[in-house]
Amino acid sequence: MKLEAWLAFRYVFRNRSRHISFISLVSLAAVSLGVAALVIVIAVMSGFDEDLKSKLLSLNFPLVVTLEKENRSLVKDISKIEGVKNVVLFSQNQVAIRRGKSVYPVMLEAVSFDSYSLPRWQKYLKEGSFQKGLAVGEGIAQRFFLGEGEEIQILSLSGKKLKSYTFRIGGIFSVGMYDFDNTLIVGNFSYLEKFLSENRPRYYLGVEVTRSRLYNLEEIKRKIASLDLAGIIAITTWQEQNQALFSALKLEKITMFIILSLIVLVGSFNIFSTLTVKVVEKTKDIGIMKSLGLSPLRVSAVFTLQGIIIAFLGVFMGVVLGVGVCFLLKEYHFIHLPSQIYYIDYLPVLINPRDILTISLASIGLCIFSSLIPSLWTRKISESEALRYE
Amino acid sequence: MIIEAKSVSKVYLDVHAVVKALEKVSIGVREAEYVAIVGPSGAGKSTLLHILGGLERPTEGKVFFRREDISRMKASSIYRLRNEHLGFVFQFYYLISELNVWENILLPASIKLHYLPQKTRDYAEELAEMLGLKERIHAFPHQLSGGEKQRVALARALINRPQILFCDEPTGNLDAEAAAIIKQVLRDINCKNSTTIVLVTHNLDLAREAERIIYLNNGRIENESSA
Repeated sequence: MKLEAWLAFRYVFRNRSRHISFISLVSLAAVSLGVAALVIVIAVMSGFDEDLKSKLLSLNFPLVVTLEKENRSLVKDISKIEGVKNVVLFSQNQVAIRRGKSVYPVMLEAVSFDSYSLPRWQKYLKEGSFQKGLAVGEGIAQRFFLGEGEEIQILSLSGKKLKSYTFRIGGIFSVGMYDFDNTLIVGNFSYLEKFLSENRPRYYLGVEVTRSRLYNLEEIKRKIASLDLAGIIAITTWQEQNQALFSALKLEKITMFIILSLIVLVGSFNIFSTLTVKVVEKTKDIGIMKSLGLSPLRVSAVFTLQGIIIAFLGVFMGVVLGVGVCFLLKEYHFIHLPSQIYYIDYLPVLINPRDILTISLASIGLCIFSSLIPSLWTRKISESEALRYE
Repeated sequence: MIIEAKSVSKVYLDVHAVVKALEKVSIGVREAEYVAIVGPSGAGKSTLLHILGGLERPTEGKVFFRREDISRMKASSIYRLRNEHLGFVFQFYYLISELNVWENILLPASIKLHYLPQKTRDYAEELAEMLGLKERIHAFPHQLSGGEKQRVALARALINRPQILFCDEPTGNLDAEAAAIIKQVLRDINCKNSTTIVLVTHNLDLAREAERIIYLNNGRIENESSA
């Protein structure tokens, strides 16, 4: 194999001017660009995926227990379950903001801003405080030109009666996700005490779990259900809550992988055409190698190895280029997105070694397959015919 | 006999016709003999040389190398035989353009051995010296003259110390001066190394160097003459 590899290396890298041959360069560039495009797109998609997950998990709980009624004793019981880090009671009420003549539906969430909950929210606070009144999402604040210290009127349907409450705005927060910033209002339990007593909010328990349990919540879910089956309406995981979103993201990632693999496929076709041209161009060399005693199998190995060299080099260069661009995207955020549309104002990037390995192996496999056919043609070239005429 | 063809025929199937390149040709070459095959174009000279060298199989008849029938030999054995015992020189040199002179000369040895021993390298140097290529060993084929290319091809054919050297019009593309050098080298190889030479040529001056001249016409041996 040493001789075959050496000959293949020479055929790829040495032509008359001692540089890489032009057709090899074209194939190399095609494979590299295809792989780089795949690496970048998949890294950006993984970045979106990861960013979305982290954003969802930063305010949503991995497990949400919907309660029949307020049940604070369940908080202690659930906290004892292995893998559970913290349990937070909160309530949600569908209400509406009235500002002049316009009415806008929002979700009013009551939480206890204790030492655990407050830091979770605090990082999204843009102005004011969570303890001085209600905190409204940035989108709502912009829509109604609201600021800290102003008052808002909340309408709530209590039984068959529409009741109106006036609250003070303590702060404005921005999560960076449309749903949160445009539909959520948050307040402390103590501040909303009157409102909660007069209305019938739905109570929930937000269950925070250890990192290792984030993707394995079934066991905790089962244990919670066994605590108070009568008082629990539903237990939903964060994946279940956002199932449609994650399925769409996964499908999009697979689709992009397949579509962009076509670029690599074109690159591998380039290897195919390069080697086909080389086999035709080097018919005399094939003839002389065979006449000197190099068996057809070894001759075809010389050409397969050329494909393999181009494949490995192309994939390596593509990965370097792709990872390089991803690194720059991550560091300098030089591509800006309209944050109103995309919940994020830059392209998030996550370089997953497993994705890179999959892309590399798939690309190398395609390229090797493409180089096999022209290599096998060399076996059909008769040394006698090849050397008979110039 | 080192090599012997017995009643060898070769038929090519063309789209339009059946071409009989050789018809029941029998020829034997003794050890260390220098044989020239001459004849007009299309007489079957190159076909006979290719069949004797195991580059193609006869349609009929047998070819023996040291009494072993190479016309029925397994393909892998034929490749080994060509690499270890036979050498070839062609009219158009067929050097590998991506390899320099030194690498071209050593190619058959590299096919035979995974690692080249020092004695092979020494012999390659000896051949380069003998053929006047010592100063040109780093040159690439496109940097060489026709005569130099043919001398590289000759060195390449000799690197594995073949028992028979097959030459197909070795001077066909060379000027008189370069052809004279090749003629002298072939004579030396035959005399000093006792290498058997089977030569196909149009060049009667070169053919006269041989001990025996076989005249081929229309795929048959018409005449044989000894020096």
